Amino acid sequence: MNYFEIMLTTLKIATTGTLICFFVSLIIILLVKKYKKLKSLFDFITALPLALPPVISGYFIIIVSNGNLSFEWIGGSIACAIISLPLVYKMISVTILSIDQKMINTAKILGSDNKHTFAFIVFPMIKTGFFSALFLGFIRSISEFGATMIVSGNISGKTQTLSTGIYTSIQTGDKSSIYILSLISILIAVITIFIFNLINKKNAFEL
Amino acid sequence: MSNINFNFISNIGDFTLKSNSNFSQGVNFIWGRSGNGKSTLLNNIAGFITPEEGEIIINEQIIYSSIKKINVPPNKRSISYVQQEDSLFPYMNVLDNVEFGYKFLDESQKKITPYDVIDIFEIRDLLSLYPSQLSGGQKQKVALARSLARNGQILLLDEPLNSIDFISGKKIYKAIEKLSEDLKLCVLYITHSIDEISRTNKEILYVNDGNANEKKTKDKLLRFWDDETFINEVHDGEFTEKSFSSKSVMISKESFTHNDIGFYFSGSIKSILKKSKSTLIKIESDKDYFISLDNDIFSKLELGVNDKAFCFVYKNLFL
Repeated sequence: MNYFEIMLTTLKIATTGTLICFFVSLIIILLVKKYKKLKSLFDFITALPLALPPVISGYFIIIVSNGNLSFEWIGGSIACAIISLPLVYKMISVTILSIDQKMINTAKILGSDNKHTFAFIVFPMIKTGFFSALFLGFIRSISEFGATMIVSGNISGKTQTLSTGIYTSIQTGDKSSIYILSLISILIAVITIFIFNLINKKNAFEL
Repeated sequence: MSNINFNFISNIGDFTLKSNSNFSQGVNFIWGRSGNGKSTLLNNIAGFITPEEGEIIINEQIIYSSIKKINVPPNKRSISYVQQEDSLFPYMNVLDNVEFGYKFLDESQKKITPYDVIDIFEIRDLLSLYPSQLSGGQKQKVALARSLARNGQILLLDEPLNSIDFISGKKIYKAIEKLSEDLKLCVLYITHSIDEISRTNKEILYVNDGNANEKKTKDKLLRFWDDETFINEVHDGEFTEKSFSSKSVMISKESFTHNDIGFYFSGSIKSILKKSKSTLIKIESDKDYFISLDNDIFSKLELGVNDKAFCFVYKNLFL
């Protein structure tokens, strides 16, 4: 087993999935902000992956893509994006809906145009929430197994991730691979959570 | 010379504000009960709310006109505005807050610098602190400094001294008055405080039930309270022999001491205006103070004209 390759594939699928999930969530929330009647509908749809077994979400992706995403790493990323959607959508939604209009008005009356207002007032207000959404999406994607397995399979050197690699090692009784892949998974999780906490702590101090 | 004219109608939900007035250089008071449209008036002038129809003109420049389809955005209106609630930017320290509006100005607009106002409001010690580390009064001073450093053509103040203690409030009011003279600035000043109103000789815009088009003199306004109960509402409190104390004011015919931090004054009662529910007493001291008491409370105190009265006030709101 090429552990480094498995790690890179995992990071590629998880990072891409997180970014897809982040931007899709952002677009939905901006739509909801504009068309408030859509809120209940999108709140319901985005919460579904949390309640459904991941294999159903995976199968849904295969059906919708007419099989084009099967056994492709990007299919795995989309699977990760759908599974992370409830967490990421909720975090971004709370962040955007809590933007204080009074602060924006104050900045504008002090002479700030839209560009400066976003850079100096809005961005500091949303950055912690957006970072949190990205980290949550990434952490969830790293550990994703069910939907990814259904969509992108477990092809060594192409779509095999840490989770599916551990699954294969358990099936074949390859104990050393189980330990090494588990250790890599734990290390990635620890580093990610450490950075997440560090950023949150820094922002909390600034406030 | 700085001035403002406005005549507009504004709707927010079921509430309609009809306003028509004009103000010139100096401190101009706006007075009325809560929820009658005072803040809505200033928010329309600032551009946070767009009127349904009408016109707003600052220094002969139209900033809003429904007929001419002009609506200058808030950042180009050149208005300094201190809002009622805390609006300091939490991610910036005091200095960055105060300098925020100044950096958007052209050289020709810079009449007063951030460090000038920092000294006026005595906040030099606070410059490196963040808003979460400030008290309510300090936040209010920083908000005032920031809005003045913006060098607007007019200054809108929505109850700016609410969180500031009485003595500091007096100093700050004098500073605002002086700045309005030095910078030839038109100041629109919303207040609930009779004490603040008693400082002016100008007519006061009375905002009532969504109408902001009637100016009254100070004396007229004080008499106008006839059917009003909002001035210094004192209904619940505790009697100790001949003194009365509530959460905000303590009054007695005899001198007393008090453990809380507040403002003492004494003087002789110059007039008593007794109405159906409440009684307004005017006490002459270093200046005139007005205290309104529930009729029952007033009769128990047995106060009369020319009697000496000793008072202790917890908040400037009550004066």
